[in-house]
Order: sequence, then structure tokens, then C-alpha cells
Amino acid sequence: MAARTVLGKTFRDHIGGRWAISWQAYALNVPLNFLAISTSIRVEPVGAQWWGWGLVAFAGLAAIAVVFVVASLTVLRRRREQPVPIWVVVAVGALTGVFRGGVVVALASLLSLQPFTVEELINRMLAGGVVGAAALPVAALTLSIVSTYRSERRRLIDDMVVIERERLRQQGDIETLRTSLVQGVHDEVTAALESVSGADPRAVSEAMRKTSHRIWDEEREIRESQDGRIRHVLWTSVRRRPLPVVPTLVLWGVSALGTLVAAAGPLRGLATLAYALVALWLSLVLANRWIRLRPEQWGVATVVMLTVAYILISPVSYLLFDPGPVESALPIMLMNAIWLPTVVLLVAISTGAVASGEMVLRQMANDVNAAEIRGRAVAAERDDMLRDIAARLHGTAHSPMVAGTALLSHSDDPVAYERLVEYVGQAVAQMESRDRSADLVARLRCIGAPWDGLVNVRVEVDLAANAGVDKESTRRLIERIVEEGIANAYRHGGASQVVVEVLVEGGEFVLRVTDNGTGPSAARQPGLGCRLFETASPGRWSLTRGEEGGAVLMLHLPA
Amino acid sequence: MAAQDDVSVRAPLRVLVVEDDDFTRVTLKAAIERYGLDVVATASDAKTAVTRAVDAGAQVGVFDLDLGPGPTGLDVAHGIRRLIPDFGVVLLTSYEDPRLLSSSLATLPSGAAYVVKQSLEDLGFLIEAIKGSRTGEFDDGQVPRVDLTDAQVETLRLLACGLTNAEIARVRVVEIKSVEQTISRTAKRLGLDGVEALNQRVALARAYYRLAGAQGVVHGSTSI
Repeated sequence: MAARTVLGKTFRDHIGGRWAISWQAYALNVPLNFLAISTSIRVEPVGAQWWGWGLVAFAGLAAIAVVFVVASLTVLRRRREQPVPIWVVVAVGALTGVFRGGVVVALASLLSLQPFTVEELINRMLAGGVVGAAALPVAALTLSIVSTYRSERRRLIDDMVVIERERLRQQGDIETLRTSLVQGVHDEVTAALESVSGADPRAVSEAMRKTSHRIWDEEREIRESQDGRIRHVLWTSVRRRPLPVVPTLVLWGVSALGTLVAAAGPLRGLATLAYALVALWLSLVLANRWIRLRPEQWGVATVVMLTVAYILISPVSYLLFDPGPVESALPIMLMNAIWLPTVVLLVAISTGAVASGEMVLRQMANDVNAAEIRGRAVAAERDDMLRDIAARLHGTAHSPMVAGTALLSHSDDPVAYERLVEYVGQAVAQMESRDRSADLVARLRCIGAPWDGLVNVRVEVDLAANAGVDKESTRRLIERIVEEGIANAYRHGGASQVVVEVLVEGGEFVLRVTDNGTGPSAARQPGLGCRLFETASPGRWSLTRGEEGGAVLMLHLPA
Repeated sequence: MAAQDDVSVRAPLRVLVVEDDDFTRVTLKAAIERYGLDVVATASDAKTAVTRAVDAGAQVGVFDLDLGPGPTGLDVAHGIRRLIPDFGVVLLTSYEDPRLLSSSLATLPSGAAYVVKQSLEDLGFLIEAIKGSRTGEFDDGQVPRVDLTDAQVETLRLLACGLTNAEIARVRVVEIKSVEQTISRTAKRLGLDGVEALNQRVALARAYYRLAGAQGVVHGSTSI
């Protein structure tokens, strides 16, 4: 049976992957560490002993950091490529807590802050171990889910933008956009030339050059932050749903067990814990009844539940079970004020995502609205076009433009100046044709076209490949290989049909040239073509016989 | 049957001219017609050439070797040969050696004539070639060769395209040292090793363009 997946990833991928350990998980430990230290103080510190406890607190943090660093350099080193089993993360979490507990107790007695007892050591190590074992995987799961939402959404948008760009192109909207951009550039160049005196070719060239650079460097629209939307999506996965009862009780229970037993002894500690769990359970159950009746009041119900549970668990339980002075109970109360909502939130997000992953993904697809996609697609096209126009303008500034202005140089004749502006206008207007930066499909078709009559060349480029070839050098390399592939198919295989395919597979380009010729011949000397293929795709290209005869040339190129 | 033979002997040869340069194509057509041959079709690209050769029932083709990006005149000639097996082929080119155009050219079709423009002192020679290509007068493989190896020709071509030694080495997948060696041997063969007044690289590029009829390749296998 296939492992259950959440947002397309297994639990092992979520928990044992990149987020198994992170600075965010460490940050979660910082307030908990300080509060846990405050619960360890059994003897009222005097004078410099306060500084001693401060040192112990930092030693606790350092101990956690040490385990985190060692784990990420050893067992968790390759987690990004190869997620580790969940039990490894549980073990690292447990080890973190055990080690920290040991360091804290040992250092406290070493600094003579309070007497050492074996019971205290075992209590602290056990409590830390249990909390770590439970909290680290839950934190990893939650962080991973949040991050997956983000990347899924980005992927979704990228995919949709590619489709939208293709659609815009097919509808001819892109040509309209280009015409309007060229008009804008034309106006800009005219304005720039108006500030140039006379018809000095160098000044004209310089003005054109500066304009082209400015257009090239123009500040592009900054992609807006996604966080607002991510929060919105996470919120929908949690909101209006009953709060998870059992996972919350388990996580809070195991984390409180150690602290309560360590602070109040086994008997009183266990009694307090049992009471607290019942109180928490009751609050959750009542809150869930409320939420089921009035889902729209989810927020109020949750806040009321947290408040009631907190009052029952902390102040009331102190009155019921703790005979000591109120100062000694304050740290635990303070700790719980942070820990209880944290546990409820962590558990609600992770279980919410587990239960409604698919629903949330759908919600996300709806949320990625058409206007935004269209806006992005147009922005991307606009960006490409402006750069193309700028490059052409730059080229124009140094060639025919200068020749044209040279004819008019040393002439203050206003008619000559008008002719110059007209000339520039024509040069810029020519930029409307988009041959040079035409997309890969069009460029490969241009390569195949002269062969018409000898070889019928069909070009198939998948959308991702068409959008993905953003480097001119890669585009040129693909063109060279296709030129060579078609020529070889015709000259050596006598082919009359050639199919050129470019796809993206596993993050790289796969280029396949299939023909209906006589197929590869072992007798033939490897020529320049083979050397080209070997240089382009060292050891990763092949020329084989096709299933239906003919030759199949296949190359893998890094994207 | 006898009557048909009679007609074919007397009727002028039906010629196809394939040339991408408009001026050359027009003048070539006029010149060939002045010698009493019938230019039934002209073309500047592969598709038109193949279609018109068949439609107009051409018997011989005069092909420019370099037709720009895509197939060469030689490729087009092979394509027509597949459809018209006894089609006569004359390659009229400025390349003194076809290897100067590209190292991956197809072989010459059997019985084809290879005429270098620069050596054409008398148009009568071209007409003889056109007639001879029909009668199978030329043996296979009558292609002029400059006295250079394949590697030397290719290196010379890439050098003339402006590639550095390192780039040539990368394209040819050889060591830079071997490129240097090939260049010095090529210079020696072409008698350019003693030229002190001129940069040797420039001298070699000039030699290439001289051999290529001052045309040379601006497209094709130039860079990676």
C-alpha cells in the first residue's frame, strides 16, 4: 500500500526532509528553555546565584544547539536529497531534550546553585527527552507543510503563467503589446534626440546608447510577496474545523509530564497532570460543540477555549494541588501561557493540513486568480520584449543610425534634423518584427524550413521547454544540434521525414531528432556532428535505430 | 520510338538553374540560353528547385553549392536525383574545394561535374560540363581538392570564422597543442610560413577566403 501523502509528500518526506531540523525549530526552543529553567529552581537564589542561573539557561540553549549542529552534520546531513526515517527525527529530538536536561542539572550543581540529586537528573532528562521526541517531529511537519504550501503555490503560478503566455501569443495579444511598447520606445528616443544639438553623429549615437541602457536596466515590477496569501490558505485549513482533541492532549500531556513531575514530585505531579488533561479535554470538547454549531465563530470559540483551559490548568490547579508559595508556581504558569496555545496551533495546522491537503490545494488553485496570472504573464512578456527592443536599439545606435547621421553631420539645417528623427523612427519601427528573439519553436521551424522539398521537418517543443530556454547560448546550442541532426538525417540516412522534439525532463532539456531514413551506420566515421553532440552532452547522447527503422538522435542538455 | 529519339537528340537540353544570388541567377540563365540550351526553370531554394525540376521536366541542373543556411546545392541535387534518376548535375561554385564550405557535405552524385567559378575563363566550358553531365562523361569523384588534409581544411575554416585556438580545439574536440600544430602545418602547405610582414592568422584567413572565392561561410558550422 502506498504511504499516505499530504500535499503530495509522504510523512517521511515532510518530517525527515529539509525541515527535520531548522533554525525555526531551534527558535521554538528558546522561550521554552528559559521557562523550563525557571521551573527547575527549587532553592530561592540569592545575589550572584541569579547570574549562575542565567549561565545555566544559556548552557541549556548551547546544549540544544550542539545536538542540532552535530545531528545536521551527521545523520541529517543528506536529508534534503534523501529524507531520513521519522524515528531518526524522534531520536534526535529525544537526544536534544536528554542532553539539555543533563547539562542543566549538572551545571546547576557544579555552580552550587542547588544540591545534586539523581532523581532530579533522571526527571529532567526524561522530561526533556519526551518533549523533544514529540515536539521536533511535529515542528518539522508543520514547517514543512507551510513551506510546501509556498512552493506548491509558486509552482502552480509558474505553470499557469507559462500556459497564459502561450495563450497570449496565440491570440496575437503579444504583438499588440509589442506594438505599444515600440511606440513608447519611439517616443522616448525622439524625446532623447530633441535634447541633442544639431546632427552630431556621436551625440546621436550616445543618446541612443543611453536610452537603450536605460530601457534595459529599467526597474522591473517586483513580484509581490506571497506571504499574505499563504497565511490566508493556512487559515482556511484550520478555520471552521473542530480542534483536534487527541493529538493536542497527547502532545501537551507528554510535554507537561516531565515538568510537573520534576516540579511537584511523582505523586502530586501525576495527579496534577490527570486533572489538567481532563480540564483540557473538557475545554476542547465544549469548544468543538460550539464550532460545530456555529463554524463562523471558530475564532471566538478557540480563544475562549484557550482562556478557560489555561485558567483551569494553571491558576486553579495551583490552588487545588500546590501548597507552596505563589512565586514558585509562577514560572510554570508563565510557561503554560506560551506552550498551551503553541501546542494547539501546531497541532491544528498540521492535522488540518493532513486532513484537508487536497481541499487546500484546490482552494489554492482558486485563490491564484486569473487576473494575477495574466498580469504576471504580461509582465514577463513585457520584460523580455523591452530587453529585446533595448538590445536592438543599442545595435541601431552603432550601425545604420550612425551612417545615417554621418550624412547629415555638420549641418544645422532643421530639415536635415527632421530627416534624422524620421530615420530613427523607421529604425525603431522595424523592431516590431520579432525574428531575432522569436521563441524556440519558431526558431527551430526557421531551421527546418529551407529543407522543405527534401525533408519534411516537424518541430515539437513542449511548453515548459519553450519557456525554459532563457539563455541565448542554450538556444543557439539547440539550434546547432538541430541543424546538424537534420543535415545528417538527410545526407547519411536519406530521410524524408524528421521530427525534432524538445522537452523538459527532470530539470534538463531532452532533445530528440527522429527520422525515417536508413538508420545509423556503424561503418560511418564520426564527423563534426558527433563531436558537437559529445561536447554539448558529454557521454549523455545517443544515436540509435528507431523502433520503426530510421535513426533516433537523443541528447540531454542541462537547463 | 524512333521519332521520339529523333526529337530528344535535336531538342535543346532542358536546364534548371539553382542559385540563391538573384543577379548571378539571372545572368547565368541568359548566358546558358545564348548557347542554345533551354533554361526551363530557376530556383533559389530547395523546395522550388525540386518542384520545378519535376514540373518542367528538366534534364540537367546547374547548382550553386552554397545556398545559405539549410541544405546545400549538393543536397538539392541528390534530392532531384531520387526523383529523376538520370538527372545531370553540374555544381558551379566559388569553393575550390567543397570541404571549405562544410566538413559534413554529402558526396558528389555519380557523373556530376564540379566547376569552380574562378577557373571559368570561357563560358563554353560550362556548357560542355552541362552537356557532359548528361552523357555520363565525368567519372565519379572528380572534385578538386586543395592540398590539405580534412583536419587542416576544417581548422582553416574555423580560424577564418574568427575562432580562437581554444575554441577551435573545443569544436574539434582536440588539444589546443594539436590545433597549433595543425595551423602551422597548414600555413606551411599554403606557403605562408615565411610571411613575416603579415600576421600569420590573417594570412591564413585571407588564404581561406581566396580558396572559397572570397565568399566563405557566414553560417553553418562556425561555432558552438
